[in-house]
Amino acid sequence: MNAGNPPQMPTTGMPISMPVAMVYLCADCGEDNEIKPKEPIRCRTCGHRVLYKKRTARMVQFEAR
Amino acid sequence: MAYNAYNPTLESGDQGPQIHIREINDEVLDFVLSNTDLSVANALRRVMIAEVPTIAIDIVQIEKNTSVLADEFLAHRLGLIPLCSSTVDRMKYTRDCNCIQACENCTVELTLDMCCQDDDTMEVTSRNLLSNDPNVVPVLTDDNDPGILIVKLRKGQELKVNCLAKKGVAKEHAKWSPVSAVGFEYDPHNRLRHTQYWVEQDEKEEWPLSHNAPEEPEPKPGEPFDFKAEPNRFYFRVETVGSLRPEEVFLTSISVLQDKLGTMQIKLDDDGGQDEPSDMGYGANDQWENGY
Repeated sequence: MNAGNPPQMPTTGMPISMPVAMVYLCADCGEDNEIKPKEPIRCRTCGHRVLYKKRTARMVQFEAR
Repeated sequence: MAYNAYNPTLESGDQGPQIHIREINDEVLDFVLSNTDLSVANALRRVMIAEVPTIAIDIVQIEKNTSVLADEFLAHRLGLIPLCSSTVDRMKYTRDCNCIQACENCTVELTLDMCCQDDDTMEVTSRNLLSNDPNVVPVLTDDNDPGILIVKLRKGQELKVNCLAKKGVAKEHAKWSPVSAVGFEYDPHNRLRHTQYWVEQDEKEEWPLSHNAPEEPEPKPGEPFDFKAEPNRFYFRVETVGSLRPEEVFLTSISVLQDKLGTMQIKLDDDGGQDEPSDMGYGANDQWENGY
């Protein structure tokens, strides 16, 4: 189906994108946890399996209605 | 002789519509409008509620919110806070402005930056909203007024918010209404039979007269029904939210009505009512163009 598209060229000089770590909060002990994609969801300090995602650092905009 | 609103050729001695002010203070205007038509009085009431422009917070940009209230909840609460709007006529609607989202001609910026560091609960009120325009600030009745409670913060909770206040009318959103209520009554003795009272036994016993009833003579028992009678005296009670003074609300509503009639007249004169049907008063686009 992608006949019109040029074949994907191997990108040279681009840094190999490392899996980005995100910081999550442990629901039990409240510790910060850095977790990368595909890693087990588990707190490093207490082993709890429930983690919370942190709020974005960006500004969010709403209509006051 | 009743004033005929559809044919305003005044009879000799007839001065047209009249207003008698019964009470006026910072938040209430109580008056009797007489010698005009029900449609005129009702138009006035509707314009005062929905088409007198004021300023209200319309866009809320939240940088930090660790309070117990969700962002949307806070944004809604901020929108409902009345702001002093006496200078609203110097402001443009953002849709008529040259800017993209906000500029000093169409927007007032208010900021809220609070953090609770004490052990006891902190109350964030409209007093903590800081405006960049000294004329457009949250409404306060006096120095003892604690302001409007927005949210309570516990130790460590923080709020950093930037609000954009815009000019608007209440037919777009009720937060722009300058009034909390407009009391409206006519014919307190129900002479015209525009209403029918539900009764168990006795109408007089079960339906107390309104406080406007002493303004009109009581009907004699067995008086014949005058089916040609028209309502002529209208009892208004305008109660503001504080963004505009009650007399400002009334006077602006008159000029809004006049502007509407003016555009109507121009449109009718222009095409003589021949070409395209004028959508005055119906098409939303047309009304926006006229600045309401």
